[in-house]
Amino acid sequence: MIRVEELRAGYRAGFRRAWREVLQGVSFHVPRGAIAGYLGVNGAGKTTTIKVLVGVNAPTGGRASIAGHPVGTPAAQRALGYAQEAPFFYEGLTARELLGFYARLSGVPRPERAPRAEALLEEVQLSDAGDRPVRGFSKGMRQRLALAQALVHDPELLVLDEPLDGLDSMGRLHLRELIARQRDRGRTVFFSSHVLSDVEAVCDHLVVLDGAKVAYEGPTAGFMAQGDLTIEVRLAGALTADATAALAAAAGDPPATSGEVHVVRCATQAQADAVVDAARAAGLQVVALTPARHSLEERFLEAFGRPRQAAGGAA
Amino acid sequence: MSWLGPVLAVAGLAFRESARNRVLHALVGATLLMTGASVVFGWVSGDEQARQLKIVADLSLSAIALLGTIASIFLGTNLVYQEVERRTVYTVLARPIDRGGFIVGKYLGLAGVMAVAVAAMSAGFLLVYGLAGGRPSVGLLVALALTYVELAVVIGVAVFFSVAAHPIEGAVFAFVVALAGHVTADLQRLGADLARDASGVGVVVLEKVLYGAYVLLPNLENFNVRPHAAHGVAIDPAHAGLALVYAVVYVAILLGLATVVFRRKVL
Amino acid sequence: MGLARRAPVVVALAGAALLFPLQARLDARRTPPPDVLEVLPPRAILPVLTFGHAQTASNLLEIRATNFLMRWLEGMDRLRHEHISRLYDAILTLDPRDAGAYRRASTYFFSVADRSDLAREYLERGVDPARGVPADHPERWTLFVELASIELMGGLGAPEAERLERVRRGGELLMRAVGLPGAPPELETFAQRLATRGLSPLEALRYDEQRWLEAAKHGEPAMRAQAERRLIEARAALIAQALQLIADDVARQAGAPPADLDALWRFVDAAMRNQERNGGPVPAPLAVLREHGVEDPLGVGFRLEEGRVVAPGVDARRLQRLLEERFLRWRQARPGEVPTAEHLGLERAAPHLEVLIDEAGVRVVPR
Repeated sequence: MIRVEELRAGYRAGFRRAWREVLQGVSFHVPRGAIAGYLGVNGAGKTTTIKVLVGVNAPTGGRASIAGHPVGTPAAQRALGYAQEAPFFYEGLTARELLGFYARLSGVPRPERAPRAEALLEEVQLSDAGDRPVRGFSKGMRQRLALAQALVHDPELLVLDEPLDGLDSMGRLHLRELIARQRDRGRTVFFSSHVLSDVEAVCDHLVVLDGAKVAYEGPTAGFMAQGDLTIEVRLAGALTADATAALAAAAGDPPATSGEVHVVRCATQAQADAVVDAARAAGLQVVALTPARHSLEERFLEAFGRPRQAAGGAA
Repeated sequence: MSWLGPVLAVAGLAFRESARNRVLHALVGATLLMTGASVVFGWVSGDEQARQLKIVADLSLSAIALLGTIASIFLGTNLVYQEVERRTVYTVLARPIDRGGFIVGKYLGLAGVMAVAVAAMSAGFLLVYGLAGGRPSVGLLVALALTYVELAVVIGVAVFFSVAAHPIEGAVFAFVVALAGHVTADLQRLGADLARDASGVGVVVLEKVLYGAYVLLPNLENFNVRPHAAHGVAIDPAHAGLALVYAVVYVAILLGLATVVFRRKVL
Repeated sequence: MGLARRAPVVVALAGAALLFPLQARLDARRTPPPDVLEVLPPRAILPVLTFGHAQTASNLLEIRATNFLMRWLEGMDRLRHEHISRLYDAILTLDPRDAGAYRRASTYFFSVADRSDLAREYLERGVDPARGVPADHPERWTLFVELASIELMGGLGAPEAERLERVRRGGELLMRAVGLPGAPPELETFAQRLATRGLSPLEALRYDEQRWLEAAKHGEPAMRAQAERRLIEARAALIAQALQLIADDVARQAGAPPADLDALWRFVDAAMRNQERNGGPVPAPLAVLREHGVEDPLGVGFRLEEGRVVAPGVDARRLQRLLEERFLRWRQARPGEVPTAEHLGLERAAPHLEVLIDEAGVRVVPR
């Protein structure tokens, strides 16, 4: 679906508008039907890559294609839908007007525009807000609207730049769900993030960018397998001293506590079972049991996230 | 014609956004006020009706041209810059529309808004003119139409600077160009007079440079038949037609240049 | 794709190339200018329309006028003169204090358009402090000079009588420039010379009398007192000159001048009675004497000395004034030195006057 070969691109930054080439020969491939995560720390060049893919900027070298069409061509652009990082809209327009505009821009025939807008507003749960100017929208609403506008012409590929950035946990959950749903519709999704857990939660394919090159490309599982599994047990209720001791004995570490919520990290499935038993015995409620491949995130940071200069925000 | 749809979509949006701009409303209001006030000026100037009408026409046409120019520059120099600044341009350019098409669309949108604005101002003027006892002549209508054509060129200048410069600088540049557009003829004449009275390479070069500037800078005097109209002098239809062709060519140049500059930008 | 990418450049270049023939064609079709000249709003409303920038507008208009002149100087016709006239009306309505503009307008109308009447009209509007250039404007005097030169130039080639009259009027106009702020001091001498040039001494004196009579009627009180004194002198000189002419006449007819003033008066009396009896035009000297009385109405003490009518008191004052001025100029050039009478241009003093020159100044006393 996406094929990138030896791509070079950059941007001008700073007062003197100095050229900064952040992509120096990037190659990767995203198979059709995949939900692909594009991972890299801030400033690695994720947004630069995406601007080239969606045809906003031309590459300075190399090639890239979408569904077989060179990037930047109308055919390639018709095949993709794009939602930018921290979406910006024409603030005076309503959600409905915006969707109409983008549909027209993408060549959706007039009779199909209104029904499509309606269906999408429904899907991203903005039906009630459809006639309000975007000016008053919250961050979550904006991200959802951004997703809707990207889908307005029913593209094969969805390119999302940091779609989960800045959302609260409910918003994250909702949007992840929306993204996952796109796979069921037969779409390919390519989204960038600097948060591994988000990528991990929905992606089956991973492209990791580091130091202007691709550092890993392949199934998420493959990247994850390189690390260790931990299981996070989330508990709720009043914690007594006895219970704390019991949990610590079961897991090897004492629980992390915040008010009535407690989190215990287990290295093995057996430990997790023991923790759950201990919790039940202490009258605590088991809220969640998550395979929190915590060490992977550490690995990611360790391997690729060497402290580097922040990139002035424009990447 | 698949490229036309997106261009018109951008035009439609630009129209909608500009039409809601309060500065435009204020300027149209000011023009209508000027038109109304011109009647008072007419009265003050004596009781000969022809003279009163001439003042109403003079002042109103000038006001439409002047305030229209201000509005065009104000709205135009923000047009593309603002899209880049507010990052709304990305979701647009990620769709099947080329940067040139984007600029053309933006231009058409603002040109459309200004068409409505000029129509409104003209209607106000013709109403006042009629109430003052005048009968609108073909000349007046042609003068109004060519005033709009002049604004269409000014919008082109403003859009170009909107791509090439910051809005404040752009507005200053556009104003300078708009002002120069009315005096290049005098400059050129100056050069010709110099060349006639003196000799030497310097003078010849100067004359050529001035002539080049005269032709290459937008010559807004080509559209200025307002004095003809106000004074009841017949307007040569061929001149009006040529002026229209001139405007089309000039706007094409400006939008072409704007596209070249815009394409060189990494957004 | 390649073509599409190059399209804007091609459009811009082709368009720029197209502009040249297009502009040439537009220029060729340009309808003759309903220039700013023609479409200028009426004068009454003009200042209102400049919204507080009347002077600037005035300057811009004058640039227009100058351009227009430069462009159409050859083959100026009546219509264009009217444009210029309208333009200058506008310019001067917007900035009525612009002495230069009055001057330029008059120059144009006098030297280019051959309309001395219009030229004079502009200047007269300009010198009127109520309508034009304020009294203390440093260039106001130049307008009088312009007016004078219109008179002088206009007189060239005219019949003698008219020429002289114009010369006199020119001098009169120059005299009005004398003493105005900025006016050069030489002007007065020049003006006086002009005012009296070509006139008989009697006419010149009569003109002088008229001038002081005017001055004594109008102007500041202090100025008026001064003018009244000068008027007495002027009249005395006039009467003396009239008497002198009659004395010369007597000398011619009788072979000898009258013995004394009483004898002269008797001749005057006889001539008047003769004239009354015979009718006909009154000779100028008699007219002067009839107007001012036949005795010595001013009490200046006329005397007849060697056939010359003198009025020692008045003559002394007149001579003293003349010498005083020369004395001052001499002292300015050579501080500390005391000039002789010859230095002051006095070849030979009249026998009835004594000239005394010392450090303090010049005194002329009757003997």
